[in-house]
Amino acid sequence: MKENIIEIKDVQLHYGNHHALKSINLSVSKCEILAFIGPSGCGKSSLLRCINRMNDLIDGCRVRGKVVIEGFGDIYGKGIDINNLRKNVGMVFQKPNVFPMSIFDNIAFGPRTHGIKKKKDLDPIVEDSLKKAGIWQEVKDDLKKSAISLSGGQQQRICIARALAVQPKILLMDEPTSSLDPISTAIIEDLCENLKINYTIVIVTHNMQQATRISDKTAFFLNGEILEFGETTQIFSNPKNEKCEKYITGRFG
Amino acid sequence: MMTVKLKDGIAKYFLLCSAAFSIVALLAIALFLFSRGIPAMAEIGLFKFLFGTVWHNNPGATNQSYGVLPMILGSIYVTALATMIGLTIGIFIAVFIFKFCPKKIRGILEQLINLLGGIPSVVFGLFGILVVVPALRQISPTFVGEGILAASLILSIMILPTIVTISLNSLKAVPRNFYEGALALGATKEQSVFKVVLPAAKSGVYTAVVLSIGRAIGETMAVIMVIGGSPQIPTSWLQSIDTLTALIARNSGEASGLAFEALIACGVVLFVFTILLNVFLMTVKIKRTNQSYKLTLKRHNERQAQKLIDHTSFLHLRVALLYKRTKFFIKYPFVKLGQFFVWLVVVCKLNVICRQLSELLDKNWRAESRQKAWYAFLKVSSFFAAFLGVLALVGLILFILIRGTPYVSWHFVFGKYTLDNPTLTPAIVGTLILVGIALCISIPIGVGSAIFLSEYARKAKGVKYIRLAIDSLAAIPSIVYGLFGFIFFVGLFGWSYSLLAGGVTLAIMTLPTVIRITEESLLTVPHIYREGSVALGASKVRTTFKVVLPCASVGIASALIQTVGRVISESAVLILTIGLMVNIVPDGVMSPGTSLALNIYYFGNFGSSDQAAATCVVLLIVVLLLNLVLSFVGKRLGRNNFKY
Ligand SMILES: Nc1ncnc2c1ncn2[C@@H]1O[C@H](COP(=O)(O)OP(=O)(O)OP(=O)(O)O)[C@@H](O)[C@H]1O
Ligand SMILES: [Mg+2]
Repeated sequence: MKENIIEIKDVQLHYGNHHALKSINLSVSKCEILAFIGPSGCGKSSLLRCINRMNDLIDGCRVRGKVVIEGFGDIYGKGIDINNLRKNVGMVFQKPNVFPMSIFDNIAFGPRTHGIKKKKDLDPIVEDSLKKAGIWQEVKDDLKKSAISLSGGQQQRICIARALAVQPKILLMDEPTSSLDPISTAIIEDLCENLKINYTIVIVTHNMQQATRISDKTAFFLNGEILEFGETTQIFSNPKNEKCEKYITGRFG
Repeated sequence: MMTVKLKDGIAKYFLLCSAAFSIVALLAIALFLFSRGIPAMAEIGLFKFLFGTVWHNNPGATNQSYGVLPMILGSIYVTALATMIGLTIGIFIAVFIFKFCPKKIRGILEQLINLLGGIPSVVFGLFGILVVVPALRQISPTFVGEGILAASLILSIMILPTIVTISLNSLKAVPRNFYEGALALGATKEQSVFKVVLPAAKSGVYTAVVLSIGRAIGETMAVIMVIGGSPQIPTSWLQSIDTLTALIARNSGEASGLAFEALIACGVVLFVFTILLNVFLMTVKIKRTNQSYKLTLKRHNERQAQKLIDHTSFLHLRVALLYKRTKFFIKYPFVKLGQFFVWLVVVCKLNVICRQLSELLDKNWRAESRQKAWYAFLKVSSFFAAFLGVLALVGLILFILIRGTPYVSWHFVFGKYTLDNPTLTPAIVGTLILVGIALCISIPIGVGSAIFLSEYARKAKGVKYIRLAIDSLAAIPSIVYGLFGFIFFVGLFGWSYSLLAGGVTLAIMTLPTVIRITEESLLTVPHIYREGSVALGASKVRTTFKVVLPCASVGIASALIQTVGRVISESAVLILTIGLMVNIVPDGVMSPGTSLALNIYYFGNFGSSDQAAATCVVLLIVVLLLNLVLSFVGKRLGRNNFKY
């Protein structure tokens, strides 16, 4: 049994009066890929954003319960250095959000944030991250180019590279491929497979095949609750929950 | 990482301070005006002061009388008419530039509008004296060209750039998919623009209204040159009258004792008037947003829609009736005033009614052709408005160039000032110092406030008051700033007439512009950038200054343009604060001086319109150069920027 790197204990989340997450319990072990599936609006993104406290940015969002991350303890507890937490828990968003700067500056933004300022230190980090994200070959001659001029799929990989550049332990991905074509999607899926060696990944997806292809474990969400959680192979071959079965076979009303 | 936290805290503290500066400034202005103006009003008698119809303050005369009703009415008439003309044309121009104009012309047009924004009001005044007033004299039955019509025509051209720039900015800020979504639903280009994009840009348009009324009411120099200057109750569009601002500017030089205090009291009236107007507009704004929200809720309810039609036709009847009645009493100024407001209300309502009607017509197949005609009309109007605006601008510039260029020479600009051969050297040095002082203060504080408002405190409770203070500061007439600078910096601080006093006053005056423009452009920065940066572990300060602010750099540059433009064009403030020392080059911030714009007024006043026009030419060249530099900067920054 591998040790747990994330442990979510009885997490409740409110947006104003809207009760978006109802008592979530979940644990993720090191170097595995966990997929969140479920219909729209059931709270997948909300839970994902609990793990690196991105919910702090939303007015009127309250979280109760504990999210314990290895090395940090309860991240909603006192004395947590949020910036350091987010450095260790990276995030990739649904829409590629490269900054309007050069490719190099985009990747170097994170390391610079955390005190690496010299170009000779940054160069290897940038190259390494771009290679890990599988986009080095495409952009290596043109690192000064504005990142916005890249295609959507390339931009998303830049975002992944940018997240990797700060060497997080955990990577959160919120529907990273939902706006991409099948080829870019395949590249990013391969990427996840490779990243698994060093990183723990939590990914939200609406694509059942994607979940089966890349994830080790799957959590099925409905109306702010996790109805089923287990090995991906088990969930997709032999789901215990009736609603979960309906959902993954596409018969969910 | 204590240091990051510390940095975050310190930054927030400084941003808060800069945002709070607006409140402090507003309170100081109010305090110093009221503490002098209220006693004066008491001495004259409040009723006698506000509703007295005779203003008579010739020094030495025995029958002094301080009734400001004529000036109040004059101010209202001029402002209302100018805003109506300017607003109608301005919004159409913005829409034209935004969607209907060919790409090639778009850049040129935006440049032209920017340029127009930089033209000092005294230039408009001079243009008024030399062209508009003589032209109106031709059509006037009494052969008087000065008065409400001349002043409001000049003012409406003058406030155009403010309206166009703000409306355009907010049109651009409307997400592209609004427009594309409407197109995808089968709406035509015109429908999408007028029905979807323009309503979505509403907040910006309201901002434009507030700012342009503020400018129109506060305008002193352009008005003073074409209004005539007789303190009598206006009964005609073409008749020499006076406004509050012109009265203050004209008389504060020689007034002393109670006469001067009475002018401060006029300042109080202007101040209160603009604050009230501001509050009024804000409530209207809130009500309107509520209304339109409710309307969308009920849009599907046919019966409701039918009721609406009944109601609107009823309204038409009522308005017509009211109009007939008021026409009967047309000679009485108060009724005329009422007529103005009825007109204003009708204009405002019409726009709502038309939109609602067109929404209804949407569902009605048979009415489709009528609807098409309506949108074609809107489109043609926007073409026509753009044409008018460009014509006014080009005409104005051409006229001044032709009039003034022959008198521009190296000696005139940089030579030594003598009585027979006046030059601009003192004015140029003075202007530079003023611009420097104003920018050094207003840009940091303004950008800081904007950051605080948009990044740190979007929904915090106290922010309401900061916004109120900023809006009020924006609406306060420049002549009131002048009075404040005179009492506070010149008098109380003991700076006497000096460039410093003028510069600091100008900085406070331009602050709201900087804040507003910067904030609008900060709001256009997509939220996902902030999330992206924060998710990398960047602190709030770093996210704000390294990611968000660079995205808004074009906005800040345009704030800078407009600030410099306003400082260069301002002369009402300077008349009261820097001493109009036209013949000596200032040797520091503490010495009295003059500015280019002030010189135009000075030359114009002295009857040397050749020199005045030549100074205008020099000033226009400065403005042009400034625009070129900044558009270059804007392009360089813009190249690396995100696409909308
Ligand atoms: N910023 C917010 N303010 C208020 N309510 C929100 C906010 N974000 C999400 N919600 C609500 O919380 C619930 C869960 O939203 P969430 O974004 O987590 O769903 P999701 O499972 O990620 O859906 P999707 O698959 O569409 O991304 C929804 O009902 C949504 O309306
Ligand atoms: Mg989601």
